[in-house]
Amino acid sequence: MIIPKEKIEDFIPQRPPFIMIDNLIEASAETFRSDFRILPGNIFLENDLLREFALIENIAQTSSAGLASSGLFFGKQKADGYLGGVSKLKLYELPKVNETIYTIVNLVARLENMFLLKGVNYCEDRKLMECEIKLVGI
Amino acid sequence: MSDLKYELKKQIIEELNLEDIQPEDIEDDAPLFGDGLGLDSIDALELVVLMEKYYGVKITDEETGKKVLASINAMSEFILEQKEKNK
Repeated sequence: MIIPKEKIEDFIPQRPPFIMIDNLIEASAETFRSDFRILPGNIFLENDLLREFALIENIAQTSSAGLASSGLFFGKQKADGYLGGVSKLKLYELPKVNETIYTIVNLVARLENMFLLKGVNYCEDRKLMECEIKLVGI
Repeated sequence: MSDLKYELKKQIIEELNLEDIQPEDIEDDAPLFGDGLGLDSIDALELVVLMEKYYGVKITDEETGKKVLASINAMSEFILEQKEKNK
C-alpha cells in the first residue's frame, strides 16, 4: 500500500467529512489506484446510494494523492490545487452504502501545473463512472 | 482553407465540445484564447493532447504552448515545422 487511510490527509487538501478515498494502493508514474468503503453516514448518500459528485470527488482525490505521492506535484507532499474541469463523463451506476469502490486514474497529459487525468471507478466488476478531469496545482 | 487548418478546427470543436460553433466560424489568425474563441488556460491542456494524438507533436512547456496554441495559423505552422524536422 502506498498511502494508508490513516495518512491520506497528509497528501490531499480535503478534510472529513469530504474525504472520499481510503487507501492509495498503487502509484506508478502514470497510474494511480485507490479504494474507498462507503460507510453509513457519508454525507453524499441519498437513499443509500452514493451520489455521482462523490464519485467525481473520489477520482479527483485519487488523482491528487497519486500525483503527490509520485512526486509529480512539483515535489510537494500535499497536492493543493483545484478541479479545473470535468469532461467526457459517463455514469453507469451508483454504488450502495457498505460497498467498496476501486478507482483507477491514468495521467493523460501534463502542461506545467495543469494535469489531465482519466478516471474510472468500479465496484467489484461493475463500472460505476468514467470521466476526465483537469487538476490545476497552486 | 487548407485541409490541415480545417481538420484542426474540426478537432478543436470536437475535443473541447464547443457547441454551436462550426469550423467556418473560426478565423485562421484569430486568438484561440481570451477574446477570440474564448478558450481558457485549462483548455490549453486538451489542445496539447490533441496535437500529440493527431499529429505526434509534443508541447512540454507553457512558453511553447502560448506561442503554438495562439491561433490556427500558429498551430498548423508548428505541425508543418515539426514534420519537416522529422523528415
